[in-house]
This record gives sequence, structure tokens and C-alpha cells, in this order.
Amino acid sequence: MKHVIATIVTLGLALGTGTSALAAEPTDAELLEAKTVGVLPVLATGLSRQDTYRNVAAMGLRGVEAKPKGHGAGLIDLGAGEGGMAFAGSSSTADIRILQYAFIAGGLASNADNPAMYKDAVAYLEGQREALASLSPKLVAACDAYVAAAKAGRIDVESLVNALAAAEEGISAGPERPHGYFAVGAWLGISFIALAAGEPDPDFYGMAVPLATYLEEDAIFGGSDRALAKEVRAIGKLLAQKNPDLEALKKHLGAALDIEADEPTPPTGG
Amino acid sequence: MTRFLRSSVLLLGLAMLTAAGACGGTMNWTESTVAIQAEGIGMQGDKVGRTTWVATGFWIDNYLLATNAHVATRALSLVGVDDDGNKYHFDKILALDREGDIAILHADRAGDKPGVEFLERPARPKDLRGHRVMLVGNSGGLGLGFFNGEITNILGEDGAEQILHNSSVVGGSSGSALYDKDAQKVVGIHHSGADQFKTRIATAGWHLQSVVAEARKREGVELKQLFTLENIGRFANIWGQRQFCLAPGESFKISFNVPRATDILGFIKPANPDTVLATGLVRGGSEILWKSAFKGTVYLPFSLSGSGPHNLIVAAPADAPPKTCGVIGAGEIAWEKGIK
Repeated sequence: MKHVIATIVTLGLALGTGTSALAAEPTDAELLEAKTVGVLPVLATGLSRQDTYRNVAAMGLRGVEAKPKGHGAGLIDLGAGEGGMAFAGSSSTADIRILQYAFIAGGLASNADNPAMYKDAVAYLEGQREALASLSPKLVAACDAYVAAAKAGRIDVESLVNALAAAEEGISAGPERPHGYFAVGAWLGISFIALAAGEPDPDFYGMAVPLATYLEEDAIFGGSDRALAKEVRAIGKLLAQKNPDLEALKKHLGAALDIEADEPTPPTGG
Repeated sequence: MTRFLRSSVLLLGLAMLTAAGACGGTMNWTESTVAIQAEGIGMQGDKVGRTTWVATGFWIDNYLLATNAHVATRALSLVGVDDDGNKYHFDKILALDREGDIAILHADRAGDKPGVEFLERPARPKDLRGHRVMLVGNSGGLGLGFFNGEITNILGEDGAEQILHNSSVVGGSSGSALYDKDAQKVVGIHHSGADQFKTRIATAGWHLQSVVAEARKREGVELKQLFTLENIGRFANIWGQRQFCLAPGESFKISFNVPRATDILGFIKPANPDTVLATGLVRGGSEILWKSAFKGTVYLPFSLSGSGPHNLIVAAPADAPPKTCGVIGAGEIAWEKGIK
């Protein structure tokens, strides 16, 4: 496959790019004001995309280590107590359930020092496994491994890396919408502990714009997705700052998790 | 007698000054540094051609020079000139570490200047905050200059720390050694700035040393053999691709964020090779970096000079057929794959 691409590119560069471009340049409006009907979000770039995911996933552990220095509240409080974010943990639509599942999984490390909340969160992930039915086998396997490790009291960064990578692959391969929701949910979950880690990380906050653009402009998404995109964009901007405010982040996360899908989502073929 | 005493004191003073100089007071800040003039390839979609740029590098030993990855990437000729006017050609590349923005080059002949000394990684790198630093860098192609500042923060961990500093620099300083002024040792290699934090950024010297250790195990590759048009496709890491179907006035985009200067490759393969479509590369949502109309399959390499969110767009113009389908994809060019 690589050889084919190399050959084609050589051919393209030698014969294509110079001659296929036509004399009449498009106007700016033809590009910027065209109605976007599809977006392929690229979440991880870099020499090793796996390394980029690993860096993002590992922020969870760094966040836990940083907690004694501040921002120590647990993220996932299924009982809506102890200062964590209240989280209903149920939804009428499959996509929102995926979003919530991925959010809990991504933010699980924030509850690692609270055995009761941690246990509730792991139990939630176990109980909601059927919500993953529309996701790729690779993503489901990564989630299963992650939860199995979590039950044993361990945050399995490698499984989270595999889940993030599989979610992005699923956006390309389809069905794109549930994989997109998983990616957004996991990113939102990690955002809480990313803030606790205390250092803006371009690998992490750099994912916000592609994710938000995807939710805003891809035709498979609707009005409530635009609202979710607004929060993703705001969180990305917040976490690119030197000293992001925890309360502001909680407010945006709360708004993001309040959304409801416009309507039950029919399966798509990608 | 008085005259004798005055002479003795004067002689003693001169002797002490001489001794002080011999004990390190005469640190030659520029001797391990060269100003780099580069000539290579610039890529902007359908426009691929020769271009030049200036930068800085510093000796690791008699043959190895450190500079930034973004300085060496796409270079076909790298010439370094030191403060004494000695000229060196660096035609071979031994390592390209894009994460740390480090390239290790091999000179065509042995240099007669010493390599730099590195500061060892402190147990707590953040303890370096507040240290006075000096960057020795190429002043926009006019030769070596000094740029003073201090370390403001250390980010990252595991030996790959990034050093934030506030030295005021000018174009051409990429690849400069960042010296801890008091220790007179290199603490990092400067590579970029981050406007949102109003700061300059260097990769820690101890990380650079690990890249050098790897480089010493490699035979390397000639610049002209690495940065070729054929290798663009060979070394492309494709991020993903998607099918599109567009009505007139509609578009599809690949949305991505690059954390640093990166070479990318986009491609668009319309199902109907006779349909005229529009394409463009847009930064930050509205700044069009490049645009063109095209028909047939196109491969579009770009040398992105800055970080941030970008979109590669394909659009069907108003006079396009009712439905135009095809495939759009993109990835980045991992030149380091070609270093043996």
C-alpha cells in the first residue's frame, strides 16, 4: 500500500500537481462560504500518533499526582455529592450514552483516590457496556481491557490509548457518529484531569478544534451537537491558558453533558 | 620606595587578572556556534520549488552539529560559518527528532572548535526557573549575536522537558544553544515561541544528548537522498481518508491541528477526472494559505511554517455537476523514516 502511495505521489508530483491545477483560481468565498457537508477530524498528529494519544491518556495519571496541589475534586460523582460533578448517567439515545460512557472512562483517574466514587464509576462502566454495541470491535475490546484493569484498581493508559486511536479510526471507517461521540466524551473526561495536571498540553488542547469543527459542520450532526461543539471549543481554549479555572471548566463540562441528541440516531454506513 | 610599591601592586594586579582569565573568566560564547545558510525545497500545494533560509547550529564534537529539525527538514544544502569565517558543509543528517525539534548533522570536515558542554538534568528541573540564560544565535543572517533572558518555566517530564525562556530573539535563531549563564553550559536548544504564553521555547539539553547518543549509532543519509519528491509519498503517514459527495456550493474538509512546523501531504481523488473542483488550505478558520482549481487526482504537499488548527478543503463550485464524489485524505511526511 505504501509503495502504491509512493508511486502515485511521484507520478502526481511529476505530472499531476503542476498540470492539473487550472488557471482560474477559486474565489475565497467558494472555499470559505461553501456549505460544509462533511468533516474528517484528525485528533492526533506527530511522528507517532500512538505517542500523541499516549501523552494525552497519560495526562490522567499526571493529573492524579497533581491533585494534592489543588483542583482535587473528583470528577465523576454518580451520587451528586462530595463536590464532584453531578452526573445522571442515563440517556434515552444511544449516542449520548456513548458520550457519557466515554466521559466516565476518560475521567476515571480523577476518582482514583476516592474508593467509593471510583467503585461506583467502574460499576457504571460495567453496567453500560451494551451502550458500546455500535462501536468497532477494536474499540470495544479496548474498553473491556480498560474496565478490567480499573476493576483491579489500575488506570490502564495503554487501553485508553487504544480506545482513542480506535475511536478516530471509527470516524473514518464508520459508523462515524457513535465513534465521534466516543472521542468527544473521552476528551471531555480527560479534560478535567488535564487541568489538574497544571500544564497546558498542545497535544490535548489541539484536539478541541478538529472535534468542534466536526460536531459543528459535519452534516450528520444537528443542533444539539452544535451546542456540544461550543463547549468543546470553549474547553480547548480554556485549557490552552496558563492557569485555567476549574470552576469555568466544570461549568462547560456541565453544559456539555446536559445536551440531548436531537433524535434517536439511525445507524449510518459511514 | 613608594614607586617600587606602586609597581609591585600594578604587576600583582596584572598577574591576578591574567590568572583569573585562565580560570574560566574568558568563556568564548560563540566559538562552538555557526550561522547556518540553508537552501532546499519549499512546498505549497502545486508549487514546489527551491527556497533559502537562515538558522543556527552548535558543535557537539568535531564532526556533529546540532540544530532544529525544522531547519534541516527539506534542506539540500546546509552551510555553517563560525565567527572566524571558517566554513563547513553539512551534507549528511544522522537524526531528526521532530518532537524535540532536533536534527543532528555531520560535517564534511573536522571542525577545530570544541563541542559544547551540557548541563546535567537536575533532580527537579523546575529548580532552573529564574536561572539567567543567554542564547547565541544567528541575527537574521547577519552573523552571531547574544540574546539574554531567564528561564521562566519548565514543562513536560520524563527527560523530554521543554524550557520556557524570555530571551528576545530574531529570525535565524532557530537551533541556537541556550546557555545557563552562570554554569556556562548548554541547558537547551532553542526552537520556537508560543504567542499565547508570550514565551520562547527550547528543548532540554539532556534530551538533546539522548538524541545525539542515538545519532552516533547511525550511518546517516545524504540530505539530497532524503529530501526528494519521491520520498514525500514513501514517508507519508496518512492520518485518514474519507469519501465525499458534493452538490454545487458544498464542501468537505479535513480538520487537523499541528503543534509545530510540519510537512503534510493532502490528496484528492475525484471519481470523475473531468470535473473541476476547488481546493484550499486554510489556517485558523479563515486565513487561506493556498488555493487552486483542479481536475483529476492531485497530491498536495505543504510545508506548514506554524502551529495551530488547519483545514484542507475540497469544494464543488456553482457550475459543478449536481453530484461530485471522490476521496480526500491527508497525512504528515515523516522524513525521519529515511534515516538509516
